[in-house]
Amino acid sequence: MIDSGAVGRWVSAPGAYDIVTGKARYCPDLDFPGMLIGKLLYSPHARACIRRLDVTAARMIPGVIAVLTHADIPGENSYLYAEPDQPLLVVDEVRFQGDAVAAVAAIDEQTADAALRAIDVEYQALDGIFDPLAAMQAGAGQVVAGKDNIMMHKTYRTGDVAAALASAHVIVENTYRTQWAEHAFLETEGGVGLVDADGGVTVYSSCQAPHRDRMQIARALGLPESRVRVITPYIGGAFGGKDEAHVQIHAALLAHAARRPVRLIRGRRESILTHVKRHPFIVHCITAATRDGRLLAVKARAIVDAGPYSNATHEVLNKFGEFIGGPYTVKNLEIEKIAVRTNNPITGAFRGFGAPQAAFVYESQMDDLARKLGMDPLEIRLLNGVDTGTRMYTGVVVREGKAMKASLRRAAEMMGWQQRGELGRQPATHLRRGWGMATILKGSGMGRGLPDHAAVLLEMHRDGSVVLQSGAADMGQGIVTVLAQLAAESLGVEMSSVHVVRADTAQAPDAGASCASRQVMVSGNAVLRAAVPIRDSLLQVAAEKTGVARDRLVLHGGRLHVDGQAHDLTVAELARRALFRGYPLQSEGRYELEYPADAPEVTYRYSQEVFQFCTQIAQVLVDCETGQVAVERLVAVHDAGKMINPGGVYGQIEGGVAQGIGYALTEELRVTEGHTLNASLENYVIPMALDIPELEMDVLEMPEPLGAPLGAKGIAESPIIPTAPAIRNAILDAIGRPLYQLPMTAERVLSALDAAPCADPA
Amino acid sequence: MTDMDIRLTVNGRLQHAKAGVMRTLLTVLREDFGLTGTKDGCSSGDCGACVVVMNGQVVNSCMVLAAQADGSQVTTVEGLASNGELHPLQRAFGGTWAFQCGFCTPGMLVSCHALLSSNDNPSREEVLTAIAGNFCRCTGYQGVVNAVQQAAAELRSANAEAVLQHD
Amino acid sequence: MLWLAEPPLGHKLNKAKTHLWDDSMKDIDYTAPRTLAEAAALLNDKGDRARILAGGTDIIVQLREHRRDLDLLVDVKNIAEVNELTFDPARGLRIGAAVPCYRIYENKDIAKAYPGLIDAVSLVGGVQIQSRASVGGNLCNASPAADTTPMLIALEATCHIAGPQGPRQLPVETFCTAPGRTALERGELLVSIDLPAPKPHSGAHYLRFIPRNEMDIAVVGAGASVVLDDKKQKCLAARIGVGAVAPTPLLVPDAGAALVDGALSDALIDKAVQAARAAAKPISDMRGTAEYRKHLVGVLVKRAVQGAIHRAREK
Repeated sequence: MIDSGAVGRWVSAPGAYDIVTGKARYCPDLDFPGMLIGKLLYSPHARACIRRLDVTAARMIPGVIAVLTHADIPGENSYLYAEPDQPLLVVDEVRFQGDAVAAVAAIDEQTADAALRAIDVEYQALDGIFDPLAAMQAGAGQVVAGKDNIMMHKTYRTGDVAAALASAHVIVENTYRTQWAEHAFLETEGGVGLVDADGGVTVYSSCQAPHRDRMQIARALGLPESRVRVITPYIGGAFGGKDEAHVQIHAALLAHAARRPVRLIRGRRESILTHVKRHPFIVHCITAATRDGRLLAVKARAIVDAGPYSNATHEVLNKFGEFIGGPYTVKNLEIEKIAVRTNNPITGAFRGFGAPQAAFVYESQMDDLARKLGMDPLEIRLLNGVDTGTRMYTGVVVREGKAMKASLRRAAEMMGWQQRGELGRQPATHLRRGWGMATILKGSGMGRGLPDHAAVLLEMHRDGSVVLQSGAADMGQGIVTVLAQLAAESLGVEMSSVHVVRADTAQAPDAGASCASRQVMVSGNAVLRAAVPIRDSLLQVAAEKTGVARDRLVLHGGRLHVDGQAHDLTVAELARRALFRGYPLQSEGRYELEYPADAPEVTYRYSQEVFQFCTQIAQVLVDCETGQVAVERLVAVHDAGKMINPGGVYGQIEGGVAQGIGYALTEELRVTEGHTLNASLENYVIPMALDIPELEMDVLEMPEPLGAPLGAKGIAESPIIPTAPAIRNAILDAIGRPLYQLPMTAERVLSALDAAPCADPA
Repeated sequence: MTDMDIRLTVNGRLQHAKAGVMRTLLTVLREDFGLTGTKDGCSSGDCGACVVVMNGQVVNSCMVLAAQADGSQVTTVEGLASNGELHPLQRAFGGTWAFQCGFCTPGMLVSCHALLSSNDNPSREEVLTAIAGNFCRCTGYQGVVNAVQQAAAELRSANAEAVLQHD
Repeated sequence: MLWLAEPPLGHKLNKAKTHLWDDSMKDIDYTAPRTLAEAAALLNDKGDRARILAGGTDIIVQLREHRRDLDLLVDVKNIAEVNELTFDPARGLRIGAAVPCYRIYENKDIAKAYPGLIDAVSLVGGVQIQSRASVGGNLCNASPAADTTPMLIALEATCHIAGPQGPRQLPVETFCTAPGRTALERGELLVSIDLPAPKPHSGAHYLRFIPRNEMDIAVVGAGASVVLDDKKQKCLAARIGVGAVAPTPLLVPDAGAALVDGALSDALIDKAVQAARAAAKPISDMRGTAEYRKHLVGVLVKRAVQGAIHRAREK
C-alpha cells in the first residue's frame, strides 16, 4: 500500500509556503488585542535565601497589570516532568541561576522592565555546592534541605564481570569527561496565554508535548484540564530542550491573573541561563577483551552533575546505562549510575538522552582496544557487532539488527576505509590526517513499561480534502509532513489535499511528546489505522458504482484505479457519494507500541526495543601547531527502517552531524560557581556554515517489525550520537594520542600533543 | 526626549514610524509594520535570523538603529515574492529541504537573495560565505547550497530565454 | 566581547537606574551632525556621556547589554570626511573612520594594493556585519582582540583626529590605551586612518586563530608586513602587530627588527617569533589560557611573516 505516491519521495513540507514567505507565525509573532508583555525576575546569586520579597511598588506602576510571586499561584507551584521538585516561582531559596523569583505582565517591554526593577528582594547569598564529587561526600551540606545530594544511585549487573575481567587478555581502562551542552534552538522558549470567556485558558506554546503542557498548566492554575487548551504554533526548534515545560506555564498564570493576553518570550541570554542542559558526565570505564578481540566485559561508573532539580535526570541516566555497552554483544556488564545535586545549571533532555555521552565512552574504548590488540577498528566492530536475534545485556533481543554491520560496511566503502592512507597522512610538516569511525545504536520509543501511544483524527470532506488532527508537536523535525504523506498515501489523494492541523489539545487526541524518535512510529501508524475505515467507505461506494470487485480497486492520486488503470471517478466524487449514503468518512486511529508480554528476560527497566543503527566515519586534519581540528570529510550511514520523507531524513542526519561536530570540538557551557560565563551565541561556539563539510550520506531501510505495519524507526536522535567519537578516533589516528574529554578544543588537542612535534606515524 | 519620525521604504512601500533612539530596525519592522517574517534569534548580531537588505547591503537588523535606517530602502523576506509569485529561491528552499523549523529561513533567504543579485552562478563556497552569519541549528547548510544553485540555474535560463526573445 | 565578562542573569536588577539586557533600552539622545566641528562640539559638551555612532555593530549591543551607559549617540553618517575612502598609488590609502569593511574589500585597487588589510577586514564577522562595521569603529571600540588593529599597526597606519584643539595625528599603535579606552581626549573624534603607499617588494598578511572558521572573536591575531630588497632575499623593513595577547593590540618592534638582521631564513623568522612571544602578556579567559595564547602568538606570527614574504616575492 505504501510503496508509491507521496511516501518515500522528496516532497515539500506543508508549511513551506508560510515559511519562505515569512508568514509562518511562531510564538514571538503572535499578537492579540490588549496583549501584555510578560517577564520573569531572576536572582543574581546561584544560591540564596530570600529574606524579603515585596512586590507592592511594582504593582503600583501604571501599566503594570500583574505581578506574581509564589504566593499568587492558585495551584501547584512546580513543574512536573517526572518529579514535581522544581518551583515555578521560588518560595524561599534560590537553588540555581535560572530559578525565577517573580513574574510580571505589563503593557509593554519597558514597563515590564520597570516592574522587575521595582520588585524589592532581599537575598542572603549562600555558599553554593558546585562540585559534584565534593557534593557526594559526607558533610558536604545539602543542596535541597532534607534531600540527599545523591539524587539517584543505581547499579545494573548482568553476567559475571569479575570473572570475565580476570580471564581477559586485554583491558582498557579510562576516565571520560563530557560537558554541559546547549540546545541553541533558534527560537527561544515562549508562550502566549489567553483567558477564555469562561475562565479557562488557551496557551500557545513553543513545546514538544502539548498535552503534557496542558496537564502542567492546569495543575498550576488549579483548573481541570478540560479548561485548558494548548496550541502549538510554528516552533523554532527544540532538540529536547522544550520537552520539559518552561515559560508557557508562567504565561498562563500571568494571563489568568491579568485577565488579558500575555506573551512571554525568553531572551537568548535568559534562555541559555535557565533551561536544562545536556548532562555533564564523568565516566570511569573498563572494557575487557580476549586475545582475538572479542568483548568479554564492560564495567562502568557514571557520575552526573544534575543541578538542583531532577528534571529528566533519572531518564537520561537510565538510557546511558542501557546503551553503555554499545551495539555489541556484551555478556558481562556492570553499570553504576549516580546523579548528584548541585547548584549548577539544571540538566535534562537533549537529543540522544544520555546516548551521546555513552557512545563517546564505548566507541573511544573500542578504538583504544583495537590499538592495543593491533586490530583494524572496522574489524573489531564487525567481530563484536549485534545482529538480528542477538540478545543484548539488557535482555532485549534485537528484532531487526542487520543494519549494524551493514552500516559499518557501507560507510567503510563510501569513505574508502581500506585505501585511506593513500591520501597522505602528512600533507604538510605541521598537519596530520586521520580517519576514525563510530557505530552506535539508539532506541526509539519510550521503552518497555512506559505509555507509548498516539491517536489521530482523520476526516475526509465531500470535496475529497482531508483534515488530520494530531497532537504531535512539530518543532521542525517534520512530523507534520510525514503524517500528511501517510494520510495522502493511505487515502489515495494528493498531499496538497491533506491539511494537518498543528497540534491543538482542544481538537487533537494525545500523541505524547515529540521525543525519543517516536512520533513517526506511533503517530505514523495511527494515521495508517485511521485511514482504513475511510478508505473502506470510499472503495465500498466505488464498488457499488462500478460493479467491480473491491479487490480490483485502488485509490491513487485523487482518482479511482481499476486494475491499475485510471478511472473517471475521482476521490472527491466518491467522498460525496459516501457521505450521501452515510458511510463514515471520519475516523480515529490509535496506535500503541506493543512489547511482547512474554519477555521476562528483559531485565533492564524501560528498555527500548526498536533500534536506530548507524555508522559515521570522519576524516580529520589536525594542525599540530595550534591543535585545531578540521573535519575534512564525514560519511554517515543510517538505518531509517522505512524512509517516509527523504528530505526530512537527510536533513535530520545533516543537522545531527552538525550538532555532533559542535559537541565534539567547540561547544561547552563554561560555568563557574553556578554562573554561566558564555550565555550568548557569540561565546558559546557552534559550528556555522563554513565549519561543516559536505556530508556523504546514505540511508538503509530495514523495516522494523515492532513498528509494523509502517516499519519506520525514527531518525531524530541517532545522527548526533556517533559524530564526537568518530572525530575523536580520527584525531587519535592522526596524532597517535587519545583524548578523553569533550569538547576536544584546539587547546586540549595541543595539550594531548604535549607541545612536542608529531612523531611520524609508524 | 521625544520620539523621532522615521521614514523607510520597505519592500517598495513608504512607511513611517515613531521611534525612540534605541529602537532597532528589527523592532520597528516587527512591531510597527507587522513584518514578523524577520526574526529575533539573539539580539546581538550572532545568528542572522534578522537579516534584511538595507540600501543594497545585507545587514543584521537587530544591530541597526531605526534612526540609522531613516531614509533607507529595506527589503525583508516579505518582499521577495512579487505579485504573489514566489521567487525561484523561495520555491527551491521548499523543495531541497533547506530548512526544518524555518526560523532561520527568512534571514537565510534574504542573504541568498542578495548573493544572487550580484552572482548568477555561485559556487558552494560562495554560498557558504554569504550565509556564514546565518545560523541554522536544525539541518545544516547543504539544502541551502542546493537551493541557491538550483534557483541560480533557473534564473540564468530564464534570463537567457529573455535575451533570446529580445533578439 | 573579550574581557568584558557577562554579568549573572539577575545582576543588574538590584541596582536602581540600570537596565535589563533585553531590547527595551533607556532613552538616549541621537543626533546626526553634518560637520566635524559640530560633532566635536557635541562630544566636548557631553564628555564620556556621548559617543560616536558609525556602523553600530559594537555599541548597539553594548548599550543593550548595559556594558555602556550613555546619554547621546552622535551618528557621523552625514559627515563627509569620516565616510571618505580614497586610494592614490603614490600617496596611499585614506579610510574614513566610518567606512564599512565591505567598501574596502569591494574596491579592486585597494584589494590589490593592500592584501593584508583585506585579510583583516574580511574577517570582521560575516558579510552582514561587514556591511556595517567600520575599521574606525573597530579601532575606537578598543577591544584587545580587534581584528583590524594588528594589521593597521603592521601597515604603519596613522590616525587622523579632529577635536576642539584642532586636528592631530597619532601612530595607530598608540591609539588604544586599555581595553575599551583610547587616546581620544574630550571632544575628539577619529576622522580617518591613513596608510602609506605600499613600497616596492612589500607584502603583508593577517591571520587570526578562532575555534571555528568564521564569526568569532580572535583568540590571537597577528599581522605582518615586510619590505624586501630587490633580490627578495633580505628584509629591509618589517612590522609585526599582534592582538588579544595584551590589554591593547601591540606593535612588537623587536620582532620586526629581528627580520632585518640578515638573509631571510627560518632561523630569522624564529627570532621574530621569540620576540613576539616575549612581548605577549596574555590573560586566561573562556577562549583560551594565557599559556595557549602565548604559544599561539608564536605560531601566528611565524605564519603571518611567511605569508607576507610570500606575497612580497609574488609581486
